[in-house]
Amino acid sequence: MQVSVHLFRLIAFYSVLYFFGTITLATENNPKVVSLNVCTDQFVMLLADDSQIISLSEISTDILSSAMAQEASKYHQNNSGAEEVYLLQPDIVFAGIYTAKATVNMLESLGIRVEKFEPANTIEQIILNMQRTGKLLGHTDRANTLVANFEARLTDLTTGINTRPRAALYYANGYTTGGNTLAGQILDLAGFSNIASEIGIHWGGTLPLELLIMSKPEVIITGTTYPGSSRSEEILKHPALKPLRHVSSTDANWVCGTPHIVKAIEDLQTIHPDKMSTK
Amino acid sequence: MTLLTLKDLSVRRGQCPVVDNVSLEIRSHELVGLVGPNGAGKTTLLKAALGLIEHSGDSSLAALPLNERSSTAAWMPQEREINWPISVLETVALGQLLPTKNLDKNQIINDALDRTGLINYRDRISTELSGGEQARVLLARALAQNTPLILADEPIAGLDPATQLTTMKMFADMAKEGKGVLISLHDLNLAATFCNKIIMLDRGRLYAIGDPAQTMTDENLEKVFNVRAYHARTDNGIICQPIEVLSHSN
Amino acid sequence: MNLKLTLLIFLIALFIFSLSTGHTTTSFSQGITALYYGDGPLGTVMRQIRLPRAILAILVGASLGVCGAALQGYLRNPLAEPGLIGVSGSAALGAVISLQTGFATYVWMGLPIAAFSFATLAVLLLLLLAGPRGSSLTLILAGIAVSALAGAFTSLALNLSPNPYATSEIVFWLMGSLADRSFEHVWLALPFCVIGWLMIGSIGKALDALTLGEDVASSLSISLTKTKLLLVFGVASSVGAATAVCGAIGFVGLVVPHLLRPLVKGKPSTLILVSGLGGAVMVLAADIAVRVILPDRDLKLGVLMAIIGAPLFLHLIYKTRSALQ
Repeated sequence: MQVSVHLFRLIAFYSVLYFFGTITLATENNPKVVSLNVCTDQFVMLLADDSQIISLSEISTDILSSAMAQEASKYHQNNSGAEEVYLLQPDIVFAGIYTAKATVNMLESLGIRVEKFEPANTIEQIILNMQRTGKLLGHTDRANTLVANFEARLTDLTTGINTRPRAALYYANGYTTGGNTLAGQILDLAGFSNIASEIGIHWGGTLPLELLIMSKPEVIITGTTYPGSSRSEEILKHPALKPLRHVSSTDANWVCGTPHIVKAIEDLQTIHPDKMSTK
Repeated sequence: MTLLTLKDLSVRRGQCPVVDNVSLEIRSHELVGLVGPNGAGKTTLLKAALGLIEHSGDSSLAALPLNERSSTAAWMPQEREINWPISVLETVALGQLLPTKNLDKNQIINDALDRTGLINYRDRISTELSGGEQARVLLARALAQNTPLILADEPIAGLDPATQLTTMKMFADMAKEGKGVLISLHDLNLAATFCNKIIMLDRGRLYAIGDPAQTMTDENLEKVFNVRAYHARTDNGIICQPIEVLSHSN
Repeated sequence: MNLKLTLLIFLIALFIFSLSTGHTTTSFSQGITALYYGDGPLGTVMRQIRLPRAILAILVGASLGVCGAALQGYLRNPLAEPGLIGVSGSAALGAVISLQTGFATYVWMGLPIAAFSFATLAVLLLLLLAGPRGSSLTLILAGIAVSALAGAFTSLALNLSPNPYATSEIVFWLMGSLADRSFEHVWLALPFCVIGWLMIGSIGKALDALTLGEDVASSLSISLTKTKLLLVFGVASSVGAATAVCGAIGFVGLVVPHLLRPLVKGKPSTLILVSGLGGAVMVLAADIAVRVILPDRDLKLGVLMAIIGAPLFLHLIYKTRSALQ
């Protein structure tokens, strides 16, 4: 309930913001871009014309990390080195704020415009990032439509939730994430309460296996397991977890704060008692 | 009774024979002294006889199956090796690691301790004893094996005169009781005094064999050892004390 | 007799203490009751998390203690230890390779088999280098070389893994930890550990005889070849399996026999059994300590063991330094 009220306010706020954005950016032409980050890759693919995309990051085609791996495969991929990117001669480079500092500094000193994006952990930030991308690419209208669809879908998904089953996010090495993270947000929007908050974890932290078992979550959502073997991931198959209800792992839709998180929410809601009947 | 028979025993190191076609017998009641200069092959002969090293020819001892060796011959190598700080009793008891059939193990161990005068040392730590005492412990260990045959490589090397004499006396007593004892020695005088048979090795070959008076002759000592010795006869036996090096041309 | 009993009492006490150590604060009696009757989450915690951990501590500790004592007895050198001479490192390499290639997944008992094979190679190589009688210098040098090589290849195998977590796990394989191990690991390790113990137990008399040197042992009807093979396979089997599930935990096999040797008057055969108990006590205690000192940090057992063991190792080198030259 709280979420939908919150969302409504947000929508109002952003609609105002949009209006100004549209006016100022109408004259921008359509710049050619290179993206160096798996999340900005997806914003670019969602909003740019094909002809605007020179190159995307290598991870953009990784099905474990990129929600748009299939689409990304038709574009050129770079390995995020300054030399390679410079030679591609983009008008704008899209990077994450955690993209290698040296690369970003080098590109900027060579006179390339680098736009740095913070990873979006909240709906507000996702919408902001979409609008900013749209503005930079000269497709403000496209961004507005996308935001509107996204918000409508979220409202639809978040209404009608009356119970909040307790759930745990559990990753390799016994790591869990709390309400301030994207995964925490997804869990919250899907209508579950996160046991990490109960034990005071709001960002990320280790949840000892014993505490997990003792806090008896109704549902447990584990991280993606990678190919090959690792002891870090063995904990996700520990026999002590067997009595718990285990739901499918997190996937590429959980990685980036993009509109694709609605798919993650939909997946989660297939086991939510208030949503199962409506499907 | 014959306890050990060697027939055409040879050991080669590369092309060079270290022990060359040695044939001999050790019987019970015999204390046999194996003498010869450094490099004559005394140690090699003993080890080959025990089957510890590769050899050609026959040794009645080496031919035995492994599990019968411990009840046939006791072996005292020249290196007096006790690696861990175990008690005298534990060390001596290793002689009865595979106990002799039908006999009281503790009785045998106690006899061995008694004989070597170690009965009051039984709870001492072997490695903390003096060199001479350790030698006695290892002798007791060999006795505790309760075998008809004892082979020892330089058992009196590095011991003080009194200990050398008591050790030789002990070997002589054992021979009197019916055991066969084969020991290598550098001390020609003690060999002549205590042994009732001498085997003289020269560059791997058996040069002379017989009682001390027959073998410790001036001629043999000159040929094999390149020394001249003072000879005498006392109530205790023969004295044969090397006193002069003859030449370096050997 | 008294010593064995004392160690056994310690072992039982620490086992119970280990079962009552963890993140969940629960009363001792509640925990023990839950171990038998609990069907709620506390039962799961006790039976599936704490019980296998305590059992593994005993398996691993006993294996390392037994093998340390046996190796020292065979080589007649108090510096011989599965970790220092590179056996644990090689076993870890075998385990990592089998995990990364899928051998551990697709072959029944593949993990301990691979660790056992690599450990066997390491022991054989070491005996070849050190000769029948291990001089301290050869042992230490051969150990450094084998450990370094095994560590490098372990690191390489983890680096080449498609799994992003694997690379960071070199620490686990080099230092060892019992955190969140389950009964699956117990069943993987148990048969190999026990077979190894039995093999080593059967050469107790031979090791006693070796106190007086090989020639004397041989004249005491001890087969040196048989002894060597049983030692190699025994050590490889139990250390291999222990390392495969818990990583390489160093110094246990050094510290435990060293502390207990004076108490058993040095006799190798007695020392083996006593070191087994002592090793179990030590690893159980260390595993409790890592949970009490830094409960949130999966402190590696090897770190704690090295802090205790390395100074002792240096002391032993100092004591035997004349033999090193």
